[in-house]
Amino acid sequence: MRLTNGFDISASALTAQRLRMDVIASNIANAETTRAKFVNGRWVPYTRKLVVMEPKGSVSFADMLRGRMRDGAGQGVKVTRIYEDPAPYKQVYNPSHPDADENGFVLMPNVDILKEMVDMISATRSYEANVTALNASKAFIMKALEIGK
Amino acid sequence: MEFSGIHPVASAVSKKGAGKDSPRAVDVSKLTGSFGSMLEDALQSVADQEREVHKLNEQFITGQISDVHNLIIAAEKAQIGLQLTVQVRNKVVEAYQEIMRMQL
Repeated sequence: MRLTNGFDISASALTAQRLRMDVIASNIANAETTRAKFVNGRWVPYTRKLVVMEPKGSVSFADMLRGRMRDGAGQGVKVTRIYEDPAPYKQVYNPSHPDADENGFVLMPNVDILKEMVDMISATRSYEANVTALNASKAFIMKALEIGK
Repeated sequence: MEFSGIHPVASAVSKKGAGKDSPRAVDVSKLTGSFGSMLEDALQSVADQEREVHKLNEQFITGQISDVHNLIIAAEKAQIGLQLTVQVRNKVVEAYQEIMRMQL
């Protein structure tokens, strides 16, 4: 086990949380986007995106073996997939909108700003927690240097 | 440097500390390589870490990386590596001075 293993684990979590933050920012930015894809002659609104996280080194055999042969503490986290929320789009009555159908309804993205805000708080706090963990790892090493002083 | 005068004392101490057929009787330096090469390896890895920081620094300045934390963590790693090296060096110098102070 390397000395700075804890650093790498926390760093992977920081990278993952940053990507999650980017996805949330994209969701908020596109909360009113009605033209994301053009399917069968109709515009489809933006679909909310979510991240899937997996522990690093749990999928491939080589990684798993390496993990077991060491102390089994793991190697951090990674985002393996960004998937689209299957929830239905919101229907809003707005006949003057250029993308309204014959009944005057417009399909709006399935993004809920409130949910995104909560996710954003969660991502921010998670990032902070991982920075704290990293500082704790560093404090361990610095304390070890003080042995015998 | 020749420490032949100390050698009988040292071997007596090690015999006293070790049992009859303990592996301590084996010459440790033959198993682990010289202290100098160990120190050289450690210094090399510290230098590598610092080179890594320089590389990341350049990438950050030219806008090739967006993750600031990776740069900061690399810098922290290099700093800790350097401090470890300095501590080991201090211990070595301390031991050397201790021996030089020995009454003849």
